[in-house]
Amino acid sequence: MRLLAPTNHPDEVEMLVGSGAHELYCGVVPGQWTDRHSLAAPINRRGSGPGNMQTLGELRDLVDTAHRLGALVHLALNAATYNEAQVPFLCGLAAEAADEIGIDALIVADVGLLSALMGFRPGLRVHVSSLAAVHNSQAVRFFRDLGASRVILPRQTRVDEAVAMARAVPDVELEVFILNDGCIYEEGHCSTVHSAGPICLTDWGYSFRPVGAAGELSAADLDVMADNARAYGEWIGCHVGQADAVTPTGVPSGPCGLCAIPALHRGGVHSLKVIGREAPAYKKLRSVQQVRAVMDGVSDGKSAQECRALAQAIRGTPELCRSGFGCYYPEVVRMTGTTT
Amino acid sequence: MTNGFSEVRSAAPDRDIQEVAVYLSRITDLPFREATRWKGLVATLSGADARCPDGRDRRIDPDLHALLFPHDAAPRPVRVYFGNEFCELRIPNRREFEASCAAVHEAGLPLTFVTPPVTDEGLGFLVDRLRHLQSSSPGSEVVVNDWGVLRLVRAEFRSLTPVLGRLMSKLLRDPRVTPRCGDPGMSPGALNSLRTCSLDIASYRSVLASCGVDRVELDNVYQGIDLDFRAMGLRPSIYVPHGYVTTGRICLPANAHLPRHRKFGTAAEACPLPCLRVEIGLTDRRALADGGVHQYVQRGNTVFYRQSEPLVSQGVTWAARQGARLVFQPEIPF
Repeated sequence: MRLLAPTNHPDEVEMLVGSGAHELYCGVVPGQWTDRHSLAAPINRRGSGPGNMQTLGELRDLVDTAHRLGALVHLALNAATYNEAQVPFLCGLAAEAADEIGIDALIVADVGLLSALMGFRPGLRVHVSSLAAVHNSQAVRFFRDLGASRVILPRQTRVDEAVAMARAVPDVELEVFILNDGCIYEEGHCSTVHSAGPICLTDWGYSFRPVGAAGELSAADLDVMADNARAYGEWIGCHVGQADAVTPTGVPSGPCGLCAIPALHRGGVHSLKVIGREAPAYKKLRSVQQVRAVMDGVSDGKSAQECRALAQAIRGTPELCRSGFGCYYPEVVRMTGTTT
Repeated sequence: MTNGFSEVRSAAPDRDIQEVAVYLSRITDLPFREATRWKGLVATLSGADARCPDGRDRRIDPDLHALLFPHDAAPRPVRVYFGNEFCELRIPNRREFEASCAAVHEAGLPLTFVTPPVTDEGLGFLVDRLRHLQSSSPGSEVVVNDWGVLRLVRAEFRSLTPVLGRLMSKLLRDPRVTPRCGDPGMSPGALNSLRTCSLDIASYRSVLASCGVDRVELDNVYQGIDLDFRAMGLRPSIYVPHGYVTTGRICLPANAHLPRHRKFGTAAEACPLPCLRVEIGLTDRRALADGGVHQYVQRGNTVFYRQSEPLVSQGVTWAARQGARLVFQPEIPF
């Protein structure tokens, strides 16, 4: 099992690889792209913000350092959608990144770009982004048929579902989310933009109305729904908007899947993804260290229960771990209980 | 092929919609099962006998009716959609599905079965329904909102016609932003980016063609759609008057009955289907203070925007000019 870490600068590579990352992913927004296309047309999921590097020179430095240290580098070209005028530039960038800079894989969400890349430069290694919303084995096969080598499963995939897909389509690597940013909705089916603020962090006022033959909602019904909405707000708070927070043990807050690592490993999942290209270097470092510690526990032969205890000790948030509100895979904790 | 706001707002459709489909989430509980009523469905919905056995009044708002059908008071719908685009737990069970297929068949109308994104478990449900659909109504359309479902239909149900669902066309549908896309300060390049999507890419269309897809479903979006479907060899459908904003597997109302320690996971909890009973109004309190768009509606796991009158008019105009199918949703499709 591999550990994939985010980065946005060559200077972070030694730190991340030295702490246990096997693979890195990054993005770049070359000046030619911003010259030709509006800011409304992001080159990848992180748009023009600090998650991306600005020059191919930086990308080259990053790749050279990673390769010297034995790590692979993946380049994100995973905007949810493109148009025809953008495809030639993207194909050219992909070819240059692969042939001259040495990128090991491209991360792509759009079926049109994936197909164009395979036609333009056969043999490119492509990983399908979580934005493609692959939730079943047939969808994994769909992207395999288009030439993809790996599929990154969406956040809201259960462990048993990931394992079933890994077993059903063993010739495609599967990658899953393991730490940091959450999404309340399905990222690949969310039609909003974060530039207006994440819609899930909107200050919503809720009102509940009956539909169909329901008749009036009782006061008890309304109380239950209002309580549920309040809990939903707490859950959202645990999944998004945790950018700068840390737990009592000093590790970054945000969604966590550490307890699921033994089951994911046993089930044949290939790679664990830490989120946050734009995050401070410290957050990336501590994130990689957490994941690697539990992965090492698995390698050392620790039981699933021991690994969960290790993970929850690292986090230092027993109440949150018990609630499952901070979990990518709450079913793991809820089925087995916590050990701390 | 532009679809600018000033152009749309000032112009009534200069021709009628060529093809109207009606999208019903459930069929078996509706009053117009008999074939005779199907033939004038929209007229029925406009008339006094649109009241359902459950007491619901399904008449179309007269203003909406006038917007949709300015030149023809009662066009005959040519197709019925049913199913759910958003939640695999709302895939009709076998009995409901077979009864619905039979009702539409009796009405003499073609059928479009709408399907959601699915897990492997949901795929299993769909295989069973698609087997029935293929044997009872070969040639029916299947709206796919999942690449895996598209592969399944193409591989195993070749007498069914796959249609690319609206979750698959990645147009921006953020009502916080898109109503302002017509503002004078918006650059042409930015506006163009927001009015197109991957359907514009030749290689994307090649993939669709290889899967037997030549129809694509679209939401009626504030910024307009700037794609030449005739030139692209695709047939569009446009949905009114409800657009979807976002969706996901974590369903707010479905968790209401669960104890806190089991809330907000994707575990296979038995769902009491509150989406059939409760609609949630979402008010953006900050936007309300700013005077922006602030009203949304959530049914089940999905947030919708109710299209404004100018937006419906824009969509109708666009559909008439493009020869697009107008998919009319009398209710939020849940």
